[in-house]
Amino acid sequence: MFNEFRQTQLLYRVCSLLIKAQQDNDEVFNQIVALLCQELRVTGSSIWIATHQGGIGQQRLAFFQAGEKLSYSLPNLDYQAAALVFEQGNGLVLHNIHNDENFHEAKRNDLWVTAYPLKNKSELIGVFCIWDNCNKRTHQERENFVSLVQKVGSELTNGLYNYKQYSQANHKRIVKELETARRIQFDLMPKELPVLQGISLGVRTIPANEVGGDYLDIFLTNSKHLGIAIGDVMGKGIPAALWMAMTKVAMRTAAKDDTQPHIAVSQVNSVLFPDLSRQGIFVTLLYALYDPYNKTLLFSNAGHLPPLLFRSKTQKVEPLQLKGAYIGGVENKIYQISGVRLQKGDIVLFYTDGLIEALNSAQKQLGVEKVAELLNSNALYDASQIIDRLIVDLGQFTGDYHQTDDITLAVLKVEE
Amino acid sequence: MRIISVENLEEGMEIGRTIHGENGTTLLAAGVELTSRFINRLKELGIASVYIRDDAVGEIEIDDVVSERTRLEALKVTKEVMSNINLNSSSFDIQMVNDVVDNIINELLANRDIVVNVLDIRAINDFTYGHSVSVAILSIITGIAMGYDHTKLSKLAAGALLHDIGKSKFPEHLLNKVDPLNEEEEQLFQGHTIAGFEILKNIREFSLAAAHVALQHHERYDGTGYPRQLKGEGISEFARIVTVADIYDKMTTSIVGRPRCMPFQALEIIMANRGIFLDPEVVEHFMNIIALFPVGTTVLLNTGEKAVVIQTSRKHPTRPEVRVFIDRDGKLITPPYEINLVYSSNYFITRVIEEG
Ligand SMILES: [Fe+2]
Repeated sequence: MFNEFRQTQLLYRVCSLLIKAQQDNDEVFNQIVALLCQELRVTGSSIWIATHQGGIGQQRLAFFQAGEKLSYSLPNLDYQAAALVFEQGNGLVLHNIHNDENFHEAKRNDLWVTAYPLKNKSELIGVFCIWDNCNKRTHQERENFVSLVQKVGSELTNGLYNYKQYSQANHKRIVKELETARRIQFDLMPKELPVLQGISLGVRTIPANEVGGDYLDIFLTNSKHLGIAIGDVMGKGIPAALWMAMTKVAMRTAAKDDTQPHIAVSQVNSVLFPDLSRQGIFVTLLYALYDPYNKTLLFSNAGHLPPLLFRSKTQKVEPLQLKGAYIGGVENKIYQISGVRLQKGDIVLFYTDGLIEALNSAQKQLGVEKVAELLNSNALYDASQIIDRLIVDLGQFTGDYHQTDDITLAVLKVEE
Repeated sequence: MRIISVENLEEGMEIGRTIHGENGTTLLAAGVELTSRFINRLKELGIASVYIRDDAVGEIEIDDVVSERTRLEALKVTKEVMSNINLNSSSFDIQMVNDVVDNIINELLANRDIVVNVLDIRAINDFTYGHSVSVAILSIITGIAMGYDHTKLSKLAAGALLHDIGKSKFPEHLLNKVDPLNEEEEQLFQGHTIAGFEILKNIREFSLAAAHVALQHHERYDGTGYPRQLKGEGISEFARIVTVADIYDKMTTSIVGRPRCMPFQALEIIMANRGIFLDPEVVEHFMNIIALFPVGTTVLLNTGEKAVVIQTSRKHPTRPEVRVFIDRDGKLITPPYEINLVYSSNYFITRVIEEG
């Protein structure tokens, strides 16, 4: 059944999979146990790794069971067998577990295990288990089998060791990358809001654990108009953070001389398009320019969510719709412009998708209708209080449910 | 001390503020240690939340808008007046009402920037009397915010205190009915406005303007209320004030079959109804007198820390002063430290923690 040639062939395939595991790909361990089960025609197989968080523990890296319906729980038996090896440091062979009352299910089903300790020098770094049905094998077959398991086991030891080294280093790298991305994002967000007669302003960003690509900028132009730019880079981590920085620079440059919003946005697209399109990245961007003397708000939109306008007079909320392609989507795109005249008490809410897509534990989204409703029911506060209130309403909705995307808000309210 | 919802009470917790019953009697005194029997009793009474002593948080001072003595006295008077009317007497001692109303007004006028911070802890069967006193207090504070003088306040207060006096004539079993009223019962119920007006207008020295509060407190600003479908300024200003106070108090206390709203949620509903059911100008004044996060509320901060609200202000309703007592890993902070959110813009409240 397992001649020398097939054994070598099998080992070769295991080793080649293990080389892949060094690239932090734990999926290959699952491929290995599946391969072993199929080739050896055994009931099940698993690979365990020792964890060192708060004392020695065990974590199952891979598991495969042939045949879906068993009258017993193989994962449970497998856990106990691995635990025994981790505890005693010695391998378990054949049916000697049958004397152990923890394994009476195994005994009843004539099941036996070879649980092989994976030791790097004297340190136990993992366990490799093979489960099989007793009755099928001859004595000679079992002898061969055990020797094969040992050979595979020693290869697995090396593979597991390399995998561990790599994933630790990789983890450190990811943590560091995350910190860098967060810092870049934090540095980019407006620290002090411009002061402008007749309006109140508020902004807030709630970063997700994984840094999303939200971008927000608020500034005064040369003729003391207010510029508000909000966007979202499609991506996460450092690349997203860097593109946020690029967008900010391009936007500020384009907007400096009171450029009309659609011209500014078109210009940002022209500047960023070559690099964005080469990397296949998109950026959404909405730029609004508020003239406090005429109370007009002009805006242009490159694929961003439409801001919500609350009208004090009618107590109705309407989205400021205007279509336009993402930045990086269409070369030399000429964007459109639109505008509204605001009145005392009117409020404009700029936001990113993280707000309306925030989930609660029932996987329900907050939704834009609810946000519009909340805007109306908090419209009597000033802009920064509206933000405080929206955040609490959001928190009340999401509860402890962990959010995966950044949430960014900016509120402009006409006070007089 | 902090506010904990009754579902989250545990044996051994200590009552932080005395809980009063219907007649102003003491149900559970401050300092009493909770047993499972007490907890069950609170649930039976339909009490939603109570103040609990919490050594991790420490002492917190809660400013009563009106002293406990005055409030209990008002409760007694309201009960006496309303139950006498119930016994088919058509009159009551107006002086008694005037005295108690004056006491409340004087106490409220002494502190003009007052914010309503005290959670009304009230049993369900105590609804009408406790509710009447609270509506009177809320109406007076709103009146003060709107610049009313003492004479005007007295009339407003008397009307507010007795706005539901017509309910004395309404069958008690229907008053506490869980299911919606049928059409006939609803007609009967709506009649409490006219019945109340009839009682009050016949009492000499009771101002007619105050009597109109009983008649009009279910009218709606957009003309969809009852009994006369009055609209906008056609509804007396007193009634427009009392309507807001009435709705707010009902939303923030438990009623059979409906969970209690937290103050900030109730205020959102009120604000959403400005210009629809409610007078927008009254709402604008009313929202300033209520603490969004009353003292004793536990909140979660954006840092992941938990804190209890210890001080609120009219000017910065979303940014109270808090005492942080649990760190982001869930460990107690000893001693806790205090932050005034007005001066710490990096901190903000992300939600209210009701689960204790
Ligand atoms: Fe009523």
